Amino acid sequence: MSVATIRAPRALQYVSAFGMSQDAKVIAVQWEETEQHYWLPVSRRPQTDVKIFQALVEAWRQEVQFLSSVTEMSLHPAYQRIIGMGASVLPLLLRELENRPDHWFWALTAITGVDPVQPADRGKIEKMSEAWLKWGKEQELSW
Amino acid sequence: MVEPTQLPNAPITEALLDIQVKLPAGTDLAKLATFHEGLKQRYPSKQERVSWRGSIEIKAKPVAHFPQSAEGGPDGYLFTAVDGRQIVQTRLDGFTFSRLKPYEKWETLRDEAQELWQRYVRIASPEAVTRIALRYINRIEIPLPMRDFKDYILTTPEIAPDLPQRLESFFMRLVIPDPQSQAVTIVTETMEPIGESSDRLPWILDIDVFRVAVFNPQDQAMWESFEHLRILKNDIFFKSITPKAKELFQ
Repeated sequence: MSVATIRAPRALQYVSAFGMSQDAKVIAVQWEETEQHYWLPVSRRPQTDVKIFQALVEAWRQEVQFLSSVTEMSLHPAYQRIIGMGASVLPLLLRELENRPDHWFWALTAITGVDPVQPADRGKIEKMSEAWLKWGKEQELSW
Repeated sequence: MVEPTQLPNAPITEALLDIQVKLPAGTDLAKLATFHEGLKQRYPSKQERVSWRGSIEIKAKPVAHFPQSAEGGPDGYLFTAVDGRQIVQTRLDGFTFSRLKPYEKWETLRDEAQELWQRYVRIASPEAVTRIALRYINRIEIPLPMRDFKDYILTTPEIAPDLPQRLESFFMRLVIPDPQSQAVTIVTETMEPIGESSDRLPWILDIDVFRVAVFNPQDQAMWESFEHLRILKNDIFFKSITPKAKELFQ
């Protein structure tokens, strides 16, 4: 076996045509998991993820500013897209929480599967933020 | 090249033919939507396709919350046949025709794709074709218990011999250039988790053969090139499986 040298590599050449079958989805999901695992360290994270995240945060902030229901806020498409970005946005969410505390708790729980907030602190944004930031440090996440 | 064999029970779960194009500036989704006219009897379902930086979503209705940007947004439509087995995508960057199982034969796939492609050319007037691809996704159900993957599949992940040999999951992607035909093959292999009571291991072998080249959208040369891609795809498939695997498809 030898490693081939490819002239003028273009990343987009290697994007597979989008399949519609169940097996195509299995491959897409596993590819996504592999990709997420690869991009998890901060040093490898592409800048574009940050840009997408920031755009979604701003869209969400603008569109939920007059909503009072946390459920409605969390079901907003921009919020759901942030959840869909998976574990790679955890440090970004924690940074957001540290700088501008807001209702990111549903997203954090959805992504991580944990909830470090004490029952007595529920509904108190500052306390809830502190609990998540503490959790992030315990996980050795940097943001 | 290996002599192609017609397998009576081929493991193909999806076969697709993909053409990437450069459309004239200003071509919009409204123009692509007209693809459905005259096709509603055969492909009654129409859905919007939304791309979001590599991820794809299918929406029944347009997404209202996000402005379209370089990062993503609606980029085309999907039209599905009555039986759900054939799907055609018309996008701002190209055209894809998918056939889901049961797969019939190459000629049927090619002829349907060719007819739909002509329709796409008529409505979208692509300036050039920039890339063509054939992708065949195979699901090979390996009977358990099994001694070695290599009894069935010849390109497999290997664990160093001194390590425990149990494997719970894997994802393997090989990009193999073929300088002679100027084509590149992406072979992706993975397995689905095995259920406790299952007596089969579902092995997915995805062969994606493509060629980056500029073709005139109306030119027969593109279809001749597809024939070469198909030969290459068959060669890779038949050289990747053992006679024991072939027996599963009889």
